[in-house]
Amino acid sequence: MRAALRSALRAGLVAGLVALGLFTPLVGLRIDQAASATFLTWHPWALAGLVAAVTLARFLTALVRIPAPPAPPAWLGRAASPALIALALVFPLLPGVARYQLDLGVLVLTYVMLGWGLNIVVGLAGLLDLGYVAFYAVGAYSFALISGSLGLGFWACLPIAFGAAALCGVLLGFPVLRLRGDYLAIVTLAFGEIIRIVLLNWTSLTGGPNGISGIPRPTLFGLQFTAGAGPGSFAGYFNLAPSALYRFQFLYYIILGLALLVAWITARLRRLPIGRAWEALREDEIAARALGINTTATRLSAFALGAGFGGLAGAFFATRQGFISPESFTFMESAIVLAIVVLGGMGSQIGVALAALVMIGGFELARDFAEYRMVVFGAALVAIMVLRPRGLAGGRTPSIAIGTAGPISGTLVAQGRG
Amino acid sequence: MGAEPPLLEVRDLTMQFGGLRAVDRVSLTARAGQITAIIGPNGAGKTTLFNCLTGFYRPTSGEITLTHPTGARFRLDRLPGHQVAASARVVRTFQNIRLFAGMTALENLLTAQHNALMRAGGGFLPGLLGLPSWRRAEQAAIAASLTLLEEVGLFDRADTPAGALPYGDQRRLEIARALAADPILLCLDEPAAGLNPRESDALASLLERIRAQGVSILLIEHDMSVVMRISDHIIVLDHGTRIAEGPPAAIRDNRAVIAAYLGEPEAAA
Repeated sequence: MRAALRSALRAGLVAGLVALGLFTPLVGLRIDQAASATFLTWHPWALAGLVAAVTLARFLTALVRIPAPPAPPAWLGRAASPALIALALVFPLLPGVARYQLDLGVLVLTYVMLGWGLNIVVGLAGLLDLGYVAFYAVGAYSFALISGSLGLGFWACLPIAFGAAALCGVLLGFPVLRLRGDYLAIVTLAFGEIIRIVLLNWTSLTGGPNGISGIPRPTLFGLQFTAGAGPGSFAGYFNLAPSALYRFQFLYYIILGLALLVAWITARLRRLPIGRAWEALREDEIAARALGINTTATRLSAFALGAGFGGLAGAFFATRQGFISPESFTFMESAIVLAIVVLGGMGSQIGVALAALVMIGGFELARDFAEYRMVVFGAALVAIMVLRPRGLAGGRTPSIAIGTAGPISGTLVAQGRG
Repeated sequence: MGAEPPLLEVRDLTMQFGGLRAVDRVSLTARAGQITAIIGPNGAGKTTLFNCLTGFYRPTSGEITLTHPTGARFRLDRLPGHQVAASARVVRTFQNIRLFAGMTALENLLTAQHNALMRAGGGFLPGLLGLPSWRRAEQAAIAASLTLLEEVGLFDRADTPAGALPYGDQRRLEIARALAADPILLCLDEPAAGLNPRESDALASLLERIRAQGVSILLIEHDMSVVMRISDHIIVLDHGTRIAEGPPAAIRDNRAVIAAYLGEPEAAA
């Protein structure tokens, strides 16, 4: 008991010291602007409160073993996916869903799709990729450039964006074939930055920091979504009252359709030899090779497909915004998507969808906390990872079962060394 | 005996790690339909030899030739790693078990049928769309997996994660997984390690059944009761060189082998 108390005390003090170091520049010293000058003011009480809170929290978590929350009942696991899909399908038609909610829905679904794409690389194949945003950018720019120069529409450009991003995935995959773990993470991180810096500096092609504007909007079999009800518009063709909302509902359904397509393909692939080879690569690459699995092709296919899906999301992003610039493709985006995959439970599709909802939707909800938004949000993430260290959906569902197989405990499932 | 073609022929194989010569000009043959055992004290170079045979090491010098009953010849020392199992059909297990721990026993066996299932399923698109050709191939692969599981006594554990199986079951599952990859030559690295006498006995019977089905076996093993009972031919390594070879009865009485195991002074050997 004494030993436990002492080690808990030590853990608390160490966390307190880290908090002191972190919060001194962040909270303790604050820049205040008055009419004429800028002051650096000292806020000892806020600093002391935060450090005390962290010390106490760490002390308590070290002392009291937090029981793992009970596993959700089996029926919930089975009902969750159909219920979420049904909710997503009717969401735009619900009363009270206006432009703001639709925009948020589109944003969440974009991240769901990115999460599902990265999930193939990180969750299934176990390859840590910190530069996923590069493929998002390649998809967006290839769509913007090709539609601009060839006059192709959104739908014709989708496969091109997919192909361009998948090709970049293979290009990244080749040099990193021999890299594992931290080294792979560093090279992918650099790759993400290289793409962004190229976009920023190749002014003649990409417009540099000015970006590309005037990207065509998606059409429904040639029908435009304009504010009025003129000829050739969606509202005009169906004799509907003109409304700006149609366009946002249309965008919502496009991204929902793309995301569900990605989910369906991934779910199918898990049952195919290629999907099993990805998971075998994550579990034990040497054993996979000894069984005759071409690990090079397997790695490259995971990179290519994950990248291709990121490219689709990028093309959608470009057509939704109508304008893209390198600013939208910073490392922060890669980090958010990776956080979604890890938070959701690596490899789990429903977990990734829930995590995107929590991360992106939750971040919006935390708007009320104004400047403390990031703190509240970060604390929530820490709490989730403490309670469910393997992510929201911590287990792995077997791809095939003779009888009724429950989810496999996350402690057995490898997370990949690279 | 001499009429049978050698399935595996190793000639003057040398593997050098810096100043250490782990395998020193070793030659050996393994015949089709036989269990060939490689024994020797710890550090004799057995596992290194295995790693050369299965494409994990590139030997410093020497030749490893595998001849299929069809007459097709493979130079195992030159094949890219995964091709050793995929085309030459030499599949191995590992001294420290390497199962896909987070996948079920059935999934482990289906993963091992990767290449066969890719060919039979008609490629990527039929599988994605779930066409009948793919479904038939998948059902056949599942049936083959269940037959193998039954053979090693793990039929009831098909849906159990491999990592949650008891140690002895994991050993047998690894052998079943290697068999699922459809080998001509099965290389087993200490399959009886850590098994109790009853389990070793069952393992020996299993290996005899595998041989009866026409799969040749190359076996590294320390458990002499298993080796002496089932081997057709034994090769003894010590300090990286071959010191003896022959049928079990001859090896049992070989003075050089006894010296290597008991550490008699070399002058006396």
